[in-house]
Amino acid sequence: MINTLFRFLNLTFITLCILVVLSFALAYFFPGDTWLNLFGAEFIQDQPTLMLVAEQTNVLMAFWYYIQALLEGEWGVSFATGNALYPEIMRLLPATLELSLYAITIALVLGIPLGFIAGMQYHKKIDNIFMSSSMVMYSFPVFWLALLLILIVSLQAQWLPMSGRLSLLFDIPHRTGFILLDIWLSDVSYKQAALYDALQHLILPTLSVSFIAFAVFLRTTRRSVADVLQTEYIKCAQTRGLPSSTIFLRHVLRNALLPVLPLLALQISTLMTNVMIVETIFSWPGIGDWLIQAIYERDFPAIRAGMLLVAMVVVVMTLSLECLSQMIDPTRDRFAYARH
Amino acid sequence: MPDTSLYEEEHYPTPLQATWSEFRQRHVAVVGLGILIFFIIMAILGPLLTPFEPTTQHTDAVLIPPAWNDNGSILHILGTDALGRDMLTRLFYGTQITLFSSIITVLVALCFGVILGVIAGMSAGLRSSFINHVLDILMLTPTLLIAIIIMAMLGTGLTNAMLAIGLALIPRFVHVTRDFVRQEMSKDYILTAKLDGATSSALFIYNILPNMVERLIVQGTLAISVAILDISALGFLNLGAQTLMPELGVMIADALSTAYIAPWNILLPGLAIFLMVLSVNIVGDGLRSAHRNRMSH
Repeated sequence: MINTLFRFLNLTFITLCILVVLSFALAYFFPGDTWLNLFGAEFIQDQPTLMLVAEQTNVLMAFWYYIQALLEGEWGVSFATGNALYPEIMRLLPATLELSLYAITIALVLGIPLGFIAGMQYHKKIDNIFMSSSMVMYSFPVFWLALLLILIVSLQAQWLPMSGRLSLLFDIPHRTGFILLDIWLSDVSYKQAALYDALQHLILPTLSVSFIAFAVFLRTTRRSVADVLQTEYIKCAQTRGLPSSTIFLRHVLRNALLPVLPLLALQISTLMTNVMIVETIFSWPGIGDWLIQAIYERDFPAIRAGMLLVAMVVVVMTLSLECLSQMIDPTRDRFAYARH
Repeated sequence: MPDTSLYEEEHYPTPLQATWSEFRQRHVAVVGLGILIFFIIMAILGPLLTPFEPTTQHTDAVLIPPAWNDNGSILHILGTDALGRDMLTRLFYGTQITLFSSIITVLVALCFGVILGVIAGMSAGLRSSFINHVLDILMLTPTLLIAIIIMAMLGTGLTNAMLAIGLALIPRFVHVTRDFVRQEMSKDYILTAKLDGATSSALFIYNILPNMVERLIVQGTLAISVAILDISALGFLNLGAQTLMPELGVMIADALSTAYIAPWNILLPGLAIFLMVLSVNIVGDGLRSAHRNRMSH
């Protein structure tokens, strides 16, 4: 167990190092001046000596300066706004995490139990209905789904708001960045109304992201339950005359859940892409919307910093889930593709 | 005249024929294949069928609804967009661009993926572990992030979008190839060929590849659906194909400004993407089940 943990820490460290090297290399590949791309114009105007030093040093020394700056939280200055990037990204990240967290929770809570039902009814009517509808669900282009929801729910029926996180009427002090938590912690008089409004804003984006993830989780769970049901030990338990509830609770449930965790790890990067697209459509003030804005404005320091942080978050989350599933089930191949 | 030689008539289907006969028994899969073939035919023949150009602006016929609507015109069967461009024509060209660019992307990614997978599968130690590390990072990075980085370096455009999506697809094929090659290398028929003095490349081309083709087809089909979704999403975000090109995602992005008064301009291209992806997924799923059934018999 400690061995596994150590190996994964090592892997995470190496991967993060490679990401930092890549982000440094990007500054050379982007059009324009390398040092401008790394730190942004204002930062270099403030520290002309550093610019002078930078021009005289070689690549390795430059990389050393870069790492020092990263560790000190000097992630550079945006071309477009002139703000320091690190605080700006840290302000945006919770919004993205919040959206992904709710979406993945809904997808898991609905997808896995329904997957179990479908798997227990393998190749029967309910299974067929679930399988065909999940196939339809994960064929939806996420941006089209989001637009359809806006068209139907927001524009035609006018039930829910179509953009943003919170109505402008409410003024909630920024504390954690998670909007529901912020409202909960704040001591404003309109807490109830603000909470209701924030929830209304959350529904459509969360629904569009979780729609597709739900279908994938349902299919994986169903596949793994069907696989477990065909094994010898289930047949053996049936011959021993165990009641089906015991078989399900003791043998099927735990064995079928094992392959779902690594799949969750693999889904994180897909989920992140979908979250970023949905953020743009719903003007959700998260890192995806911000990054896509940055590419329109050719804001190279912002792209580099945003890419570094998003990749780091995804890598750390995926690898820790991988590590967890390896510790639960040491026999499993690392990164073996789960089927669905 | 009836054939009397009953025993010689016995016919053993080739693996591909066996898979096809398994596939044919699933009616849904056959319907999916039908829809897919319909889209491919439309993509090829569509430009010949329509009298308009995708970029011609009919200024006298702006925002006309589809023909079944009371205000519709039979001249423009699926209506026109805000610049008076014929929707049906643009759908034909859009299907062509989206579908064929996805297929090309997947084919290129498949070639690179198989080559890398073979190298990773047949080698051990540092080289294999290096390839695995790089691929893990590539696989963990969200597709949109890879696309954003490539757009920042090379600029926006359909070719660059295809490059980004191809890069994101490569790890899938590498994993399939690597696992399969590893698994086969320990089998006896490979050992026989090795004892006959076959080189690694000959081993792969003559012994392993024929056994792997079906898996690659299944993976490739499923990858096409991912590629269609990603290419249209990048087009929608204005990072892929540019505004003048009638790509399906771009068409949806163009129609956003008139979404309220002309929703069909959003609905129809989206429906085309959705049906294409759905049919590809159904075919891929059917192929996978057929392959699995054939192997288990």
